[in-house]
Amino acid sequence: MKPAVLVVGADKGGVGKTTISRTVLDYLRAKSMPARAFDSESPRGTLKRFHPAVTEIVDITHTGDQMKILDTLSSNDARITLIDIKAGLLSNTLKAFQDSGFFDAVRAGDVSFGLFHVLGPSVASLDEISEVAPYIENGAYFAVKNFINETSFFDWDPAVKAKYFEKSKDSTEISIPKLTEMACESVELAGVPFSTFIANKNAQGGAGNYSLVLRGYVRTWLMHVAAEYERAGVLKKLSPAEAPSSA
Amino acid sequence: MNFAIIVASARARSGKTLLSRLLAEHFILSGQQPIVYETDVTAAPLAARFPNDALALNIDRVTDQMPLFDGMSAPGTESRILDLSNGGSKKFFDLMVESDFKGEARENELEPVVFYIAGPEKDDFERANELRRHVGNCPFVLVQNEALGEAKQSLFRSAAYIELAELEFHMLIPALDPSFMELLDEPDVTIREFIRDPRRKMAPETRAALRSWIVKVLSEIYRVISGIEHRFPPLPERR
Repeated sequence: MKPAVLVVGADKGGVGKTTISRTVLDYLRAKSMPARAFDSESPRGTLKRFHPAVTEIVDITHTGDQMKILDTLSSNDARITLIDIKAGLLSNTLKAFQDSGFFDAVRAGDVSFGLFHVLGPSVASLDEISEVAPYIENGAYFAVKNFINETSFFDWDPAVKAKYFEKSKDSTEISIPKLTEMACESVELAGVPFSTFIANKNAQGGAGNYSLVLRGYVRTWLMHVAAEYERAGVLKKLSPAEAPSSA
Repeated sequence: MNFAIIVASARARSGKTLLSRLLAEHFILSGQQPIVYETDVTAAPLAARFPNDALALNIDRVTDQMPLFDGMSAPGTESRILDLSNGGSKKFFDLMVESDFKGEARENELEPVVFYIAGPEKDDFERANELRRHVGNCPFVLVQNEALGEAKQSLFRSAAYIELAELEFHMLIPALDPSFMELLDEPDVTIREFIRDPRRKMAPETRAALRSWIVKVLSEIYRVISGIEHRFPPLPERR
């Protein structure tokens, strides 16, 4: 069974990249797909705060930490390796991976690759797509618009969109819906995965005593996010042989 | 058994507040101290009636949704009653389903019950049916308030009426002379005090008619609540 790598990145900060990584980890857990994560917000990782059991903090610019990630793709139980790339480091990381031969392995079919490219709200994000285009030729490219905070995004011009999206054989748009601010903040304060918050548990597994209403909002929102991931075929594209069929 | 009761209707001025008040009085007369919620934050009629035990909350604000749902489902020894305004109905029932309010309430040994006041039109019954399906497995009491008028013959042939006629729990609020209803609305008229000691300064026939009506409605409430208590299996023990 070939391993898969999903990079979650953006060249701008504050677009919700780590929040999206958190939803992916919840989604993979719900699908019983073993996953591990690397949080490149070294030294203090935000992703690790929410998913401590499966997340390791790394400095993605260091060769030693790149080896820790790429050299162990096949030698551990996790089928999917999620890498949450620090803002501004996406292009450099992909180049480093190219130089290490990672994309040769993707081309050879030894590893599946996917990129969750979290776009900013302005049309300048299209330039970001150009920058990552050389690396997504043999992978699955997901252009992610994060509406969690009710951001307004630019409208795609069909011709321009086609020009950028045609650089990948497999491009899909994903929209993360809005989540009410109070619910967002409560989950942040709780410091637990979204699914744990919904189950009303704290980080130690005890009663969370979170608001019923906020849990309901998070539950509904996470269902919509999972439905988007299903629609976009995230699991099928990353791990085609193992992806469970949608019920 | 304790209850989380929602009093709703698709119609304005259908008697929701009156029924909510009577339900509260039923529990008080039974020795409980029910908590009353209402979503009409402008008039807040029940807050005036039950100043220590009523909360008016705005269903459109998350900061009010939280104490409403958390309060209605929280563990405790008292029943809760919600007088749900027309404007807040959709938001409330959508959130009730989204938040798994029923599951949470039952975990805390509270049985959610919907008392739905339907008018005499076919549309009222269709909306009642839609709501009943939307909330799912939960005691649903169809309430007919004679003050809303007589049903048309076409209603009795409608699919919605036939389906709702099969419901286990029905309740009737008999008509009351509007002038008597005005007396009941007076701020210093407390139903339980009137029941216990109806020696108010009013004509004997007025007093008798009002008392008779109150006793009939409270008997209906008692019949329905007892029926629900007997019909539904004991709630699971708290873990």
